[in-house]
Amino acid sequence: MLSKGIHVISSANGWAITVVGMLTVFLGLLGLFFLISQLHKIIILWDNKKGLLNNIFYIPSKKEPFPGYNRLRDVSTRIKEESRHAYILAKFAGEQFSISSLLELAKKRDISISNECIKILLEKSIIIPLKKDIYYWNE
Amino acid sequence: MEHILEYLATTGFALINLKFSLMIIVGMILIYLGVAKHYEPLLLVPIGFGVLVGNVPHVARVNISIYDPGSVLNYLYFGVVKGIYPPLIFLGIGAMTDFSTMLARPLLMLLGAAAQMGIFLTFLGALYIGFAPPEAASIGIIGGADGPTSIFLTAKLAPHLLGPISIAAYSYMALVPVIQPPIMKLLTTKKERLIRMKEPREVSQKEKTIFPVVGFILTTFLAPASLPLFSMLFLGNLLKEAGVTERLAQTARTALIDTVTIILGFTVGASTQANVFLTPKSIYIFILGAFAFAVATASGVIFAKFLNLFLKDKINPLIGAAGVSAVPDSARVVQIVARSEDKNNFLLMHAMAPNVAGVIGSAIAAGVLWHFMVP
Repeated sequence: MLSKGIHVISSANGWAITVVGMLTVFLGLLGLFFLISQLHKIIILWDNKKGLLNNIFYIPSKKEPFPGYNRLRDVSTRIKEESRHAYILAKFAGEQFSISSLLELAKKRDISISNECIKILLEKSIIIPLKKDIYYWNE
Repeated sequence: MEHILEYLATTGFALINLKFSLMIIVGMILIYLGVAKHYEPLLLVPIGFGVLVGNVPHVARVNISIYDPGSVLNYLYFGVVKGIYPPLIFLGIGAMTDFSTMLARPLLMLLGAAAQMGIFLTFLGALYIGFAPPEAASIGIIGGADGPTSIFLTAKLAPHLLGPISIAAYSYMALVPVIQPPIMKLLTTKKERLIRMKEPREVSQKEKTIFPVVGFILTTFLAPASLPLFSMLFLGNLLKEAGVTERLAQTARTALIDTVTIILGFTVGASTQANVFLTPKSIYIFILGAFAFAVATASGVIFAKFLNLFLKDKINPLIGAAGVSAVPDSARVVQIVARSEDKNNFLLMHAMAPNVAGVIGSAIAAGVLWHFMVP
């Protein structure tokens, strides 16, 4: 063992190493904290990149991306994008589908379809109720 | 007759002395704690048995000791001395760990950072009482409550202390349920211990898959010396989360980690030969190790209370104690302490966030210490 005392800490740069060490640990985990807290937002943006680009460089398309699209002019890009996903999934589910099965399919594929989107699609008669919890896409 | 007497003089019964006897008792205690008390049995049983193996008295010429070049045990010990086993254990840990709770509430990661205070204060304490800086750094890392990291850093900086440091690290990890609760209760009020936390948000599979890649890049860019540990930790996690490498993840979290744990525990135990282990330095290491654990626990709890000053949705400060790695034992201790106050308060998943962040934090700290100690 070497000599003891505060001066040993100073001569071994102990204080500096401790400060730099703690700072690095905090900075590392702070960096991860920041990154992780933004990660899910970045993923949502990435998933909706088409909608985002359309929002920035909007070029009206003559062809409807899905039946009923033209009735969604006054809604947000997010809802339009969610509606597009909903249409693809509704096609996948068959001519007639239930809202719960649609949401189930969306969840399995990690796709977000909000209740707000479903509500708008119903309000604008883009999806139409056939019988109890069974709907069809108004094409 | 002469041959018989000569042979008898070389047996363990003839060569045994007080030091060997003491170490054999230590080995038995470790096995007892593992088997009867269930304190980290997967570690303490192989370590305890290794202690018995390392302390069988024998004459030097037979060349069987772990320190004898060319002996079987020496070959197995090679993986400890060269720091091969700890990264392999990290691969398995990565393949086991679910980072969801940390991804859901990343703020809790800061508790894992605060708990690393134990490492650096112990490092200062070890310097103060006269340990050389590389030895002090190796002792300090015990406060990270992460056995593989302790072994990894000690193998690089102070290999002559591998025995006492690894035994101290693993023993204290096993004793987390004994060491932490009094500190947690001392530093929190009943009202704080009753705080219930909000359910974490659901984390998507995409997030879980992307995290190991970005996490690896960020942490290793910041502390490149931790590359061997982080590369394996995050690779293991990527194998788990990618969804296409389940077979590899399964091997990493079962067969591989089990094999390495057996060999690591056994050889670390066998390295505690009485003549190298029973020294005043070992006693200091054990005292400093206990100090490191206590400071780490206290730092995490106090930092959680500090965060609460600014948070609208308060966090239960008990989860700060899980910032010391010891995955998942310290998170379990948080759960036990919280439920002793309120049977319906479930903090386990919340505590897992600082717990896994503590693994990352201690590996960063090890990288920083290694960087400063390498001439």
